[in-house]
Amino acid sequence: MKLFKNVRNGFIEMVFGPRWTYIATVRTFLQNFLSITLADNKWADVISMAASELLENAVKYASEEGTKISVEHSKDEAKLYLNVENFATPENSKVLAGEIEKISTGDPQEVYLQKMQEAALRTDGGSQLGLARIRYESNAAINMVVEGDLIRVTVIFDLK
Amino acid sequence: MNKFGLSSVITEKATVELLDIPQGVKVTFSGDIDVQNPEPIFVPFFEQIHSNVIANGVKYVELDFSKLTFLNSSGIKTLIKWITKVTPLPADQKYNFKIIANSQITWQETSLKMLSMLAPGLIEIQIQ
Ligand SMILES: Nc1ncnc2c1ncn2[C@@H]1O[C@H](COP(=O)(O)OP(=O)(O)O)[C@@H](O)[C@H]1O
Ligand SMILES: [Mg+2]
Repeated sequence: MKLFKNVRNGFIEMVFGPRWTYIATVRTFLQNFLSITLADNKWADVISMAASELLENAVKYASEEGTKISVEHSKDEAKLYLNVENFATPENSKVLAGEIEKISTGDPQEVYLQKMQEAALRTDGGSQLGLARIRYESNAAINMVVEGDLIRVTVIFDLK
Repeated sequence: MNKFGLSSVITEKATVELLDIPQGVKVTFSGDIDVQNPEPIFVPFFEQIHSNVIANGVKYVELDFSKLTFLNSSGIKTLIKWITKVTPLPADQKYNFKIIANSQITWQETSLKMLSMLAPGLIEIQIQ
């Protein structure tokens, strides 16, 4: 068993076998949960949208079963950390790292607009829009950590 | 009902319907668009509207999102595909969009504003 003491920060963690149909349920749950935790309902909407986009990716690109999502609200910093973990192939990890790099260095609106223009020309299923959308709609920072075949994407919302 | 005789697209969680209005046609979106692959569901419908609009010389298409509570990025892509079909058209075939957004639904103002930036001058956005 693993349970740690976290009394200062609002915290929630869910582990589930990724299935597309659970995403909406988790999104709605987080939306409700965060609208209690955070004073501004807009943040609950934005963060649950971001969680939904990350979970879609975790389902689409996971190389094996298993997804963990966690949300931590640090009141002292006025920040909220949204983490999604899944197993990934080295190829997808590389694509993801490149995407995060690109999205993080440019102006959020310009990057998103450019990605939209590129998406119009794509004929494969992907849109490469999800992460740019999160960044544009929330101005959050997006990071990733790779540990073997496990990756964790973290979105840090500045609630100030 | 609509003059093109196109039936609505109805999925488990969303409905997209085409209606006649005096100035042209109106597409109403409601529910949640959050399926894994929305392209085969929505793109053919949008393409049919697009060709009928051109064939019938319609100049005004209203996109009413006021009842759409969620739209994932793949859903956004289906709209991008439609809108970017209009920009390269010759002037006599071009038509205008008006996007209706709901200020109560947080993502709409930001996401839908970006759609209007894809085709400057062709899309007006009304937030209500
Ligand atoms: N959780 C993840 N695991 C592995 N690869 C991912 C993950 N999230 C994103 N990626 C990679 O990053 C790319 C960009 O993601 P995103 O912007 O959401 O676009 P899309 O979902 O349309 O492909 C994906 O195409 C995929 O290659
Ligand atoms: Mg995605």
